Amino acid sequence: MTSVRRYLISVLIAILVLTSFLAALQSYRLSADRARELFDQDLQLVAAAIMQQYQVDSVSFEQSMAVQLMQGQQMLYRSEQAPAQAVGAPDGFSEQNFSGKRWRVFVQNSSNDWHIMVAQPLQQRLQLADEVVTASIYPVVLSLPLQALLIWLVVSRALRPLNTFSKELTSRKANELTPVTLEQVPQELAPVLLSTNHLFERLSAAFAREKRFASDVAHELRTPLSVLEITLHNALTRWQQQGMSQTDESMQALRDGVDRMRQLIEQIMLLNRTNPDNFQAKMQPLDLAALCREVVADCYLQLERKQQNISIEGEEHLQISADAFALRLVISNLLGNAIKYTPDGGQIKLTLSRGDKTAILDVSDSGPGIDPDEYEQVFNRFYRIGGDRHQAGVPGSGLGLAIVKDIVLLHSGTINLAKSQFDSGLNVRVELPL
Amino acid sequence: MLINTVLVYIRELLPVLLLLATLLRLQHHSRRWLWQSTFLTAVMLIVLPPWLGDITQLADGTGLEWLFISAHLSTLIALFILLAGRMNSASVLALCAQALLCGINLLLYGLTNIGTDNSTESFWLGAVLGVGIGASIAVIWYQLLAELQRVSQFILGMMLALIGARQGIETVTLLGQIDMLPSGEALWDSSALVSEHTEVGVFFQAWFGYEATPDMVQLGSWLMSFILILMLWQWRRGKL
Repeated sequence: MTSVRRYLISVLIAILVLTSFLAALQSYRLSADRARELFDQDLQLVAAAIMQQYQVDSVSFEQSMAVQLMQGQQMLYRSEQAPAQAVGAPDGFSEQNFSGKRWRVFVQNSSNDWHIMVAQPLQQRLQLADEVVTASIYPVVLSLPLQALLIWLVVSRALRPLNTFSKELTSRKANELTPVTLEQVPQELAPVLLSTNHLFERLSAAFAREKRFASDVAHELRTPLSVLEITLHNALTRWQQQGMSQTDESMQALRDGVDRMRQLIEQIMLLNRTNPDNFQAKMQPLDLAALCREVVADCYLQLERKQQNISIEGEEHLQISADAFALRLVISNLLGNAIKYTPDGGQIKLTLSRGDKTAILDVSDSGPGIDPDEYEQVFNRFYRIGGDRHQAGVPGSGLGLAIVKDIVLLHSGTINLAKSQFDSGLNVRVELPL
Repeated sequence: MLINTVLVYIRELLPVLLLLATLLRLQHHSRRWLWQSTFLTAVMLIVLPPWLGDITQLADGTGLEWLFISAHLSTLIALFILLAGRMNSASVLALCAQALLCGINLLLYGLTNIGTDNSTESFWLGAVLGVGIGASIAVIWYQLLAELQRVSQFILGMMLALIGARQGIETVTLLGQIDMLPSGEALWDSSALVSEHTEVGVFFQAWFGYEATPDMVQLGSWLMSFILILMLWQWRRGKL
């Protein structure tokens, strides 16, 4: 993912360096040209002075200069650096080699056959020009780190509201939908902030509606369902008194349907109640092993009816901090599922162990088990393996494991499914912090 | 001195930096090749300099040219390998070869210029300006490629083809310099338009091997490398 800050800083500094350095180079070129012109003017002035006075001694010129003064072919004067022979350069400015150096030469002829040549070593001129001009580039180069630092500071400052906004969003909990507030809102960020807050508002309202809907529907259904149950009970009693068979198939189906609806309504209400967003857990020290024994005792009649063998193994006392109601619901749901899906005479085993800072509860059965591909999906609400009826032919709402997962997450625990230690079946492992 | 140093630094650094920017755009998910190339280049630039004199004397004094030819050819081959799918190793080879060329040339330039005619100050100032300009162009180039990539991925292929074409023409030019290839007549002279000694000329040279007066062999090698890489790119993208 690209960073706006990094992009802005790198591109701005690159553009600044490029333009400053290219401008410095251009300025170097122009200044060097100007320096060359000044040096040339120097040569011209020296030549003119000598011409006017016809006396070299009276003219002061730099020792590094080479001067030849001739009348016709006769050498009247030559400086130390000048060759004994005439240089033979054309009139005006040119570049010539003599005395082992390259020179910038200026030649001027007068009407009375006087001929003067003034020259300067080219290397020296370039060096002098370099010294003068490079001095003007230093400030450009040396000020760049400061400019880069300023760019970094300004960009960081300008992007601070965006960073704050981003931190505010990332640090929020999943269920926190209150509006985001920033101290300073730049003009560009205002529409984003406004849209985000509108979105939070709509989401919050939608979640509240969704939460209320399931609970309200379940509540509303309870009353007519109770009426239905009573009416069904009365009808069955009356029919029994009139000598009709109670085991009539249609009546049995009606009673099963009403039972299922009752169970579903109870589960929806439990799901709503145990939802991490709503549930106000009352954490207290609990003995998980004791709670398991209590739940097994509660389910004794069901186990007896199906002639199933149940065992509790492992730790005899396992102290954890949990909500008693919620944890009992977890164990009874898991045990209820095991009883439901394990065939008559099958095996169920609860194992309690101690992990690394966790209490582990394994509920294993010898039922048909679940395909590993469906391990994740079974925690989804209303998910039923094989559709409305499980392959074991057991009716259910598809909410039990969703409730269990919500409660486990509420306790900062984990829940995982695996194959059972029996020949077939499922092992549900719940890990809760100690 | 200052202008010369700036131009030399831009000419030597830009090919490496432009190649680096293109490779970074091409494989922005992994940076392993970058650290490997940096390490290998550093090792080579530490090990090679003491042997430069001996290398120069090889093959009747053309050892250094042969070393440069092999570096250009290695880069070209690396681009072919890169397009064949071996991204990591090809990137390391290409980057090391170009960095080696740049390192040796800058080292030789520095050795022959530092401390002569009191020009050390101009040299260092020129080096700073050259590095600054080169690095800035590379950063802008990288961001520009990112923008252009959004329009078309073909831009990246075109960039690789231009970098490859530069290797082709540089190889042929070096072979001509050591009389391994005959130098033909110039097909045209565009120095009046863009001189090789200006900043723009140096940039073009570093980018796609601009030559103001190319002969037939140089043009042929440039075109061949360019078309081959472009065809490979299209083949890789399943459009050929």
